[in-house]
Amino acid sequence: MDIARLTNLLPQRLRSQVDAYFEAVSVLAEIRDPKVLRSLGPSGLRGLILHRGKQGVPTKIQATHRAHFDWTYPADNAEMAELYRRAKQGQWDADTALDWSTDVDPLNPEVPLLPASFVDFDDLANRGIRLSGADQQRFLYAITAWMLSQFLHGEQGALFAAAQVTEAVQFFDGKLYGATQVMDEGRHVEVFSRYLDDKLGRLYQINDNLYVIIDALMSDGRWDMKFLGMQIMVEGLALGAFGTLYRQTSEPLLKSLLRNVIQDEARHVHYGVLALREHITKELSERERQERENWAFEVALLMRNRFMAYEVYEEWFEGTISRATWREIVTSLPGMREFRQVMFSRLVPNLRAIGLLSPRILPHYDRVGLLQYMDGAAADELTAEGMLADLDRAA
Amino acid sequence: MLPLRLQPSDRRLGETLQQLGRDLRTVFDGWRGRPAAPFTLRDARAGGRPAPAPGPDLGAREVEVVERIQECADAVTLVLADPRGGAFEYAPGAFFTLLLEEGGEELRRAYSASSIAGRVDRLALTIKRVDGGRVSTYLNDQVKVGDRLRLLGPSGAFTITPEAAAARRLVLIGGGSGITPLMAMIRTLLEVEAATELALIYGSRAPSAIIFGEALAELAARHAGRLHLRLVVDDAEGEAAWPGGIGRLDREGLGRELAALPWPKEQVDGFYVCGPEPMIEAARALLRDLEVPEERRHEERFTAPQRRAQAPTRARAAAPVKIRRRGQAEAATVIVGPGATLLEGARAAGQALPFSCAMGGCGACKVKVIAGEVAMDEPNCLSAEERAAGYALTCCGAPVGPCEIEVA
Repeated sequence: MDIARLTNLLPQRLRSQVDAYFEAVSVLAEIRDPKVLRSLGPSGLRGLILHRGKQGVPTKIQATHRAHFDWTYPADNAEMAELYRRAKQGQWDADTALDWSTDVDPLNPEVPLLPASFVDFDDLANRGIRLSGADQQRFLYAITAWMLSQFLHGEQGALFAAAQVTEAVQFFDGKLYGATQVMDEGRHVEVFSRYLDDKLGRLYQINDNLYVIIDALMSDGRWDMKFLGMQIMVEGLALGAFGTLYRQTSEPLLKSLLRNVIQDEARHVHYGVLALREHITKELSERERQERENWAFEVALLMRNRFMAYEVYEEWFEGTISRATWREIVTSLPGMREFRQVMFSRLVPNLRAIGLLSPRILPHYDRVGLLQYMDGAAADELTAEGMLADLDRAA
Repeated sequence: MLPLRLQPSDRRLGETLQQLGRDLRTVFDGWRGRPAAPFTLRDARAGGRPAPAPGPDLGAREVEVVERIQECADAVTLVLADPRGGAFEYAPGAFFTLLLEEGGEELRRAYSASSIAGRVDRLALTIKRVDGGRVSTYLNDQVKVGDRLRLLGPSGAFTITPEAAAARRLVLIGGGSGITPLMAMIRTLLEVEAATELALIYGSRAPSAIIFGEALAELAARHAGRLHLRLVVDDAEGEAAWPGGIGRLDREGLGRELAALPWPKEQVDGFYVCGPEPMIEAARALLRDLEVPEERRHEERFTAPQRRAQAPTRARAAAPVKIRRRGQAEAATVIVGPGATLLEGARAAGQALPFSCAMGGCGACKVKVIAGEVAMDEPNCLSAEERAAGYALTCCGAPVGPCEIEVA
């Protein structure tokens, strides 16, 4: 069905809404595994149709996981104990580790938040959007603030998920480690919200697709699904996004903020790989494993295709260009291409490491062009220093 | 149970209905083309974030101004008392540090006590107005009786320990506001040491700029023969009957004054010099030429506060500082925040370090830098030899990166 031809017949204000609904339906329609659809469907409805994250009131999501107590306090996972030790050493205080006195002028072209090359302004002009120099600066500012706002929302999800996973995980060493991750995520919420409040002065609403993922993780009672979603998928997304911004920004406070955050995130993904590898390869039945494999694939697609920054579209171009045109623009932004590249080069090897890239799913990854990332290093083979060095080299 | 009280299940139902209402409104607004605003504006202050932590607490005490004495056009004496009734204990010659807040910045300035020393209820600090000086102008023009100030001290090594039985002959040489610590010495020694005699050579710009003019004359009259006053001015301002000397206290002028002292130099137990740098240098050279032994020569240099500069290399990021204490095997590591001094960082982390004036004037906080680099605000009282030997002052020194210091 050609959505554009259909919606073009409608008045402007209805056109966007119809497009949004078609998009929501197609997100869910693309899910092939009925179990995955059952798990993501209600969250999709709440996020994409009801915009629960944008209703202007706190959102309540019922958690259903079970806390796992162990009164014998076993030393049950040496690698997790080692991560715990490293996490304790790696704590930092945002008050003192970052220079908050840095004067940030989001519109100063001398110290750009993002370089003009993040957006291909010539391509935009070809599509009829001509922005003056000042408007280009404002647009880059909006994109940066939007990205950082999504980071912040993602970190809130990570904070709660880390706490839930700490309750549910069956390794005691994992629980101790988990406590440090809760602290880490709290700190990340602190630094991103402080940066947005103090330096950029605006906060974008949560993206509906990000809401869907967070909602699905929060309401899923199975601890390994939370784990998979948060520690592998969302953290992988975060590493991709943080890495891209870290590489491209010239703003010194933001750069050092991201550097600190990336070092924490590297531990988080590593932990996810440790915990899930055991569980997925040894504890789960093949059917259960397949469900998770399918779920991860669908979420990977969601992350690749659906972070369209519609919030920026609504601010800048609603009524000027169609959502379909905007999607094309966002998809082809050089900065977004790099973001996807960094994200999947981290994510795909991790999925392989935890046993969720079996031969049966490979053709699907191949079909959507994600197989090229198969041979990268997984999180347990990578150090934070190594990851930052990669980014610094590429910069 | 009252019929109106909601059962938990009812409350749950209420919440669900409210949520349903919001959901419907959201969908409806979408169709009407009125989606939620894409972003909200954020104000750093509206975020409810607590104000940044107050400046490091150096343990300053709060004092109240109980009297103002206008000494001359450009100098005021503030008499301070502890509102909780505590005493001040200091030796004549000591100085105190006043801490003032201005625009979120803490300003620290040292002022010598001019009042009689010992253990006293009231402390007088005399403040000369410095051109363009923020603190001295504020203290001269705006501070009122009843105002509260924060105070550190006493500090300084330019002091005399009074002894009732002592019988000494001391020569005091002062220039400008350098009279202040000498005034405390005069007042205290004349009172405590009945057999001690003092000679004061005091240089000022003009008769109208003389600080303590009347008080000195009164003391000289009351303690006849024990206080020899010699006032020297650059310019007598047309006072035909000016009884004192005229001219600068440079090598020539001060040489003349020293030659005219009432006692031969061998009978002088100590020379105390306080004033501007050129006068101190002249005195140093003259006394050396006169072969006055070093232990009888004492000097105090005053630096104009507005010339103080913060070390430009103060760390932009937090730096770990290892604090080693002599005689202790274990070193403590503290994180000194960006822009903070070593002293502030250590105190914030609960590590006590010696200090007194907190503005680079007294040397009480001197430590040895074993590793790394410490940048210091200038000027400060460290000598070139001390710097060369790797010493730094924690009160005005900040780590440039990770470093290690040794505390005596």
